[in-house]
Amino acid sequence: MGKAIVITSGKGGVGKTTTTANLGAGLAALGQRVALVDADIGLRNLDLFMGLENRVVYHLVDVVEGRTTWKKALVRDKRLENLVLLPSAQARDKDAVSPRQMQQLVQEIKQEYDFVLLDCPAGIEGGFKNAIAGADQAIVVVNPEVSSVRDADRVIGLLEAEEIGGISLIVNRLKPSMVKRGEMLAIKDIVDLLAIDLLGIVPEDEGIIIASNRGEPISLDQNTKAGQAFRNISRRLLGDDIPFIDWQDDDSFFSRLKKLFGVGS
Amino acid sequence: MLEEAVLFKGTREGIHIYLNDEVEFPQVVNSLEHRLASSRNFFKGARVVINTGQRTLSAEQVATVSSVLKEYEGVQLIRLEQSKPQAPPAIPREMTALIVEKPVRSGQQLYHPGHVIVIGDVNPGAEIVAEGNVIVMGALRGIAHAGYGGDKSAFVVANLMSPSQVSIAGILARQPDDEFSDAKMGPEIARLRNGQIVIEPCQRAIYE
Ligand SMILES: Nc1ncnc2c1ncn2[C@@H]1O[C@H](COP(=O)(O)OP(=O)(O)OP(=O)(O)O)[C@@H](O)[C@H]1O
Ligand SMILES: [Mg+2]
Repeated sequence: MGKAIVITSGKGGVGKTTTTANLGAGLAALGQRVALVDADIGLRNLDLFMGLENRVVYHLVDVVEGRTTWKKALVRDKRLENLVLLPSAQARDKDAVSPRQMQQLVQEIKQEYDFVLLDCPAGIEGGFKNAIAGADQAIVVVNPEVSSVRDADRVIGLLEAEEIGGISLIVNRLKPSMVKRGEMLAIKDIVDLLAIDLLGIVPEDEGIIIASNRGEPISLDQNTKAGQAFRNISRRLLGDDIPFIDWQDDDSFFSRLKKLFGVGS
Repeated sequence: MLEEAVLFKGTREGIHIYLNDEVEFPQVVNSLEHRLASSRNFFKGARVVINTGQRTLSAEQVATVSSVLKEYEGVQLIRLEQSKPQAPPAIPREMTALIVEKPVRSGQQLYHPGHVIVIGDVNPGAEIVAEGNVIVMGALRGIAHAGYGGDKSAFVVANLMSPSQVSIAGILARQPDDEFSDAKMGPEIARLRNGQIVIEPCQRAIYE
């Protein structure tokens, strides 16, 4: 049986959907059977990020209300045959689904997929509770900003209260140049405060916006740093020990030296 | 004997509010309003027992008290009681300690009618309310109230003292915004001296 992982953040717009799409593609490219579930009811996005909006016929609420089965509602990815998406409803309200129903649905999908990734809506209300209901683990996405870290802390407290097993952290939109000038929260400070394991760091990269607009996850693009970051995270999810890329002094002489000797940071 | 107009005490049943019978009633009401307003979140959804000491409230006075409580969302008055003669309410001297073995996170509020010991950090946006002492074996960046209920000998100790707010027996530390900083190292203690909160390294406090 597979693992269900919810991608959450508290604060909106920090990169949950981007992370879900890219880890889904990243894991599928590594041969895993992956089901993405868009749990952001009413604000359907994930199908766009995957470039699958034209193929959507049924959605999550149709499944829960018994109009179709979850298998029939799945949309298969264009590029990777072992990657599927369960889209969310666009024009429905969040209360159309209950935590109990979500839990049952995720449980069923887990029987046939190695990973079920749940794209959580922003906030900590009903939609959040639905999205985490069936999750075994959680990935909390933060931006290196005080407000994002504060919300992440709140969310981690709620996840701990629900006894969600492994909670790990992705810092998204890191701007190495700002860190160098001391204008951005340092990774170490964020990890110290949140006191959970760091799963990965994704740099700010306009390629991500371009890729999302095209509906092509950047983790499938071999030539970008952000894509590399998401591929590394995917491998860490499979238990591989991949050193962190040193974004802090990305192109300094020292970091190249360190990389040469295989020292991560 | 009580010196304050109102006294709060947490029990298994809920929060007991003692209205000092030696203080004029209007002043008691005033003080009650004030105390409730300064810990609004703490009373959210609380079950409350009002103890009027030796005083018997008139119907009008009862109405005044319950209208004050009604202003606070979810506060539930479950009983109005009078103390038996010669049994003035006292702050319990024997306090238990609540030990928390993980970080207290933003949005979490923790109340204990004794001491609170946190093995970990108290993060910004988190709040600890203890009738006894607060001891943080990590960084205190959130809010800590020690001596809640009036114990002026209570203190707050933290390995890294950088609270957004600290109070003892209802007295708030008056600090310029940049007074607490992460740069200071080593445990510090906050306690009352001459009615004001003083924060200093634990070392110095011990050798004095
Ligand atoms: N590392 C990055 N570099 C540049 N742009 C990014 C990065 N990560 C995300 N973005 C952009 O930020 C925007 C918000 O991202 P996304 O939709 O993934 O956030 P979200 O957390 O799912 O938002 P919501 O809370 O609304 O669901 C998108 O336009 C996305 O392309
Ligand atoms: Mg989203």
